[in-house]
Parts: sequence; structure tokens; C-alpha cells
Amino acid sequence: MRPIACVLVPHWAYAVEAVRDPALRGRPVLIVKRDGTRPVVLDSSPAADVSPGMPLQTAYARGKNAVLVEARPSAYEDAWSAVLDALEQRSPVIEDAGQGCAYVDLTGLDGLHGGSARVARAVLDAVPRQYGASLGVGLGKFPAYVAAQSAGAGEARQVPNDTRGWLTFVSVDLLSVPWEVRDRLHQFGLHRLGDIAVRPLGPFQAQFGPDGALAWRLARGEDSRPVVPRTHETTITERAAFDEPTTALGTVLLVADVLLDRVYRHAELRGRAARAIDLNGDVLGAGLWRRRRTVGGPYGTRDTARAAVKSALDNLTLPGPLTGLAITLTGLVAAPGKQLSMFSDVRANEQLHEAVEQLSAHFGYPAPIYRIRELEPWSRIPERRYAMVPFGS
Amino acid sequence: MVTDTGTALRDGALRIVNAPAPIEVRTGADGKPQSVRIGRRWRRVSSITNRWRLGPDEWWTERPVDRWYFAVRLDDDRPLTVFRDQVTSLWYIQRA
Repeated sequence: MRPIACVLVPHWAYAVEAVRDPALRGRPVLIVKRDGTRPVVLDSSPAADVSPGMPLQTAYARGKNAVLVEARPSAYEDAWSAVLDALEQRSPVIEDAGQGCAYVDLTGLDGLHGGSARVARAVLDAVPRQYGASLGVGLGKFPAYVAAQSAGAGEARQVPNDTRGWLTFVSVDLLSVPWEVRDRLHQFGLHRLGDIAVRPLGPFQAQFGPDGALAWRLARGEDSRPVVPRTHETTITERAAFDEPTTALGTVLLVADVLLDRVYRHAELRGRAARAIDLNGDVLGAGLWRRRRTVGGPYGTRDTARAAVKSALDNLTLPGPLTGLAITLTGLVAAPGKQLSMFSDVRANEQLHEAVEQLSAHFGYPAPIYRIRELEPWSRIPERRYAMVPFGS
Repeated sequence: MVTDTGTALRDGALRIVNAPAPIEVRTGADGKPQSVRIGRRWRRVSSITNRWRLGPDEWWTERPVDRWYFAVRLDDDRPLTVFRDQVTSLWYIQRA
């Protein structure tokens, strides 16, 4: 079996919020997500003693001193993605097991770092220290996970040679099987892994099917499940943050337009076309708002992308004011050839961009040159009709 | 994956075109502008060429719009458009 490390940050969303605001550390904190009309707990600090998914009313009743923090799902996703990228600098085989948990295949890294202890330290050091990640190393994902659970923040723990004996007193709640299975194990009076390991496989398989067989093997320290590497898709993302939350669709569309300009200037898109666009908005008090649009037409050009974005935003009722917007192009494919216009103004536009960049370099600050963009040209209120956007932003 | 540039487009980067600018206006008993302060000098309004009302609009929001616009000509023959915000009673200059 291959040596595997489990990197664990049990309360990921809370960890991200605690990095943003260190005053939250050590306090009971509820990260609240407004799911429809009913607010629920997305995550909590260890001191809060509530479960994810619990209605806020119930959770708040448990500890009235808890600090409420509005969830920022895209921030958690971005931060976790950055952690996975950093881990990939240590090992090419990384599995994303959900925010706060990743598996790292350590095969062959001993020689690179000079010993398993140094490998463990190198992997743990890849995660920014302030997240308080723990690390477990074992022959299999489950033993590594249990070891990481038992290690403190910033600590690494190796599973002992007698894996089965070591797991004897571990709770069945840590088994990576559906919660219904864990619940029924408790009903059968099987609370510890040792209670399962001493029994034959047959009854478990008969009672719970494949999940029962998996639970039985895991309880004996046998886990041959491979680390499934992340799949990488080339994506291009540009984002904008609003100083003031906005619900004005004209403004959102304008910012989306500017973001599309920036996205389509990426060198990675030369000779390629995007098949889909993801619009991600951070909604004040409602977490993440997300729309995916397939780019119509054969080319996936900026114009078709703009039409797709516009159709996504037209007649849209936002769940709340937007505090940020991100546009991501995915599904990049080779662009089919197309006839270029002899009198295209593309070159002129590029020359203009170059000129503005030269001016900016000359002045040492962005050249105060703007494009006029329509906001709500039909508006009766004059200042709502047009806005100036820095050229090249 | 392409690295995110991390450069956020701040909302402040958007500059509103034709935003109203505060201006000092002296009015008569009928509420119409009589003189306007341009820089340090007060200029007399020689004539009001047009007037119209915008609003009341969006009265259900925290920032309702209700304005009386006056297209005026100053004593130096300069044309100007000013409006009185009926909600705040403040005067602004703005191209209509």
C-alpha cells in the first residue's frame, strides 16, 4: 500500500474567517448561510458545538453569545483552491476531499526530502500556518484521516505499525460511509471500530451492502482506495469588488463587460475559444450567486460571450445586493479558423491600448483616459445614463 | 489553471458621467432661482428659459428622486441648468 497523508482543517469556513478577523479566534462563531428564506449554519468554530446544516435559530439557542458571520462561499472556495495548489507543489497527486480535507500521495517523496518526517513537515508547511491544519500519515486514506483528526493544529501524526490495534477505540463516527450506516451501527451497539473489526465480514455486507464491507475493511485498517488526483481544467478568471453593494443591473452588466474585456485579453486565450462562462457573484447576506452560460455560436468569441452574459443578467432578480462579481471562462477549445476582415479595427484598438500603456508607464500611474459606457441610457435621471471606465481596466 | 491576476476593479473606478454638483442658489419668494454663485461671485439670473419637474420617483426607496429643474440664463448670458432637490432642499448644477 502507498503512504498517504491527510491534510485536515476541520472547520474550514471558520478558519478562513478567523484569518480575516483574528478577534474571532477562541470565540463561539456561527458562519451563517441564508439558504432560501431560512438561515442555516454553514460552519462553526470548535467552541460553538453545533453541526453544519443546523437552523440558525436552533444553533443560536445553544449559545447565545455566539458571533454571527455571514458566509462568503466564494472566499472559502478560493482559499481552499490556493491550498490545493500549494500542496501540488509538494506532490503531483493530490485529492480534493472537500473543503478542509485533502489527501496527498507521498510515494517517492522520501528520497526527495530525506525521510518521512521531513516529507510530512514539507506537506504541512505548504498550508499557511494561520489555518491551523493538522496532518496524518498512514498506509491508506482512512488511517491517515484518523491520524490527522487526532493531531493538534500544526501537528503531524504517523499511524503506528499496528494500525488495526490503534484504531480499536476510535469512534465509528469517523468512518467515511453514509451517515445512515453510522447511525445504524450505533443502534446495533457498535460504537467503536474495534467492535466492528472483531466480527466477520459476512453480516456487515449482508446488512449494509457495499458500505458495510467498506466500514468493515476500514475498521481493520485496510484501505486500498487510491488518491484520485484533481483534474485540471484551464480556466481564466477576472473579478471585481464593489465598494458599495449594488443591485443595479446596469452597473452589474457594465462591470461584467469590463471583466470580459480583461478576460479576453489573456494570452492563454489566443487561438482558443471558450465553451462556457461562469458568473459568480457574492451576494450580501446570501452567500454565493452562480450562473453558468454556454457560449453560443461556433467561435466562443468575446461578442458571443457578451451576449451570453447579457442573457444571464437580463430579467434577473438578484437575491440581494452584489458585493463582488467574477467571470470565469471554462471549457477552452481550439478556435476554428475564421475569415478576418481586411478593414478590421482590431489593430487600431491594440495600438490604442499600447499608447495608453505607454502613457501610464511614462506618468507612473494609470493614464486618466476613460471609455464612456452606457449604464441606463433610457433613465430619466441624468447621472444614471452613462459612466466612465478607465481605458484598459 | 491560469493564475488570477488578483487585481480587483474597484467600484470607485467607475466615474459617473454628469453627476450633480452642489451649488449655492438664492431664490425669490416663489422659490425660483434669482442668483447663482459661480466661484466667488454671485451671478444674477436674467431669465428662466425652461422649468420642469423630475419625479417624484422611486419614492419607495431610501433615496427618492424629486427635483425641480430650471434652465436659466445668467446676467453674462451664460446658460445653466440647476435643480432643487425637493427631498433635501439642496441645489445642484447638472446638464439635463
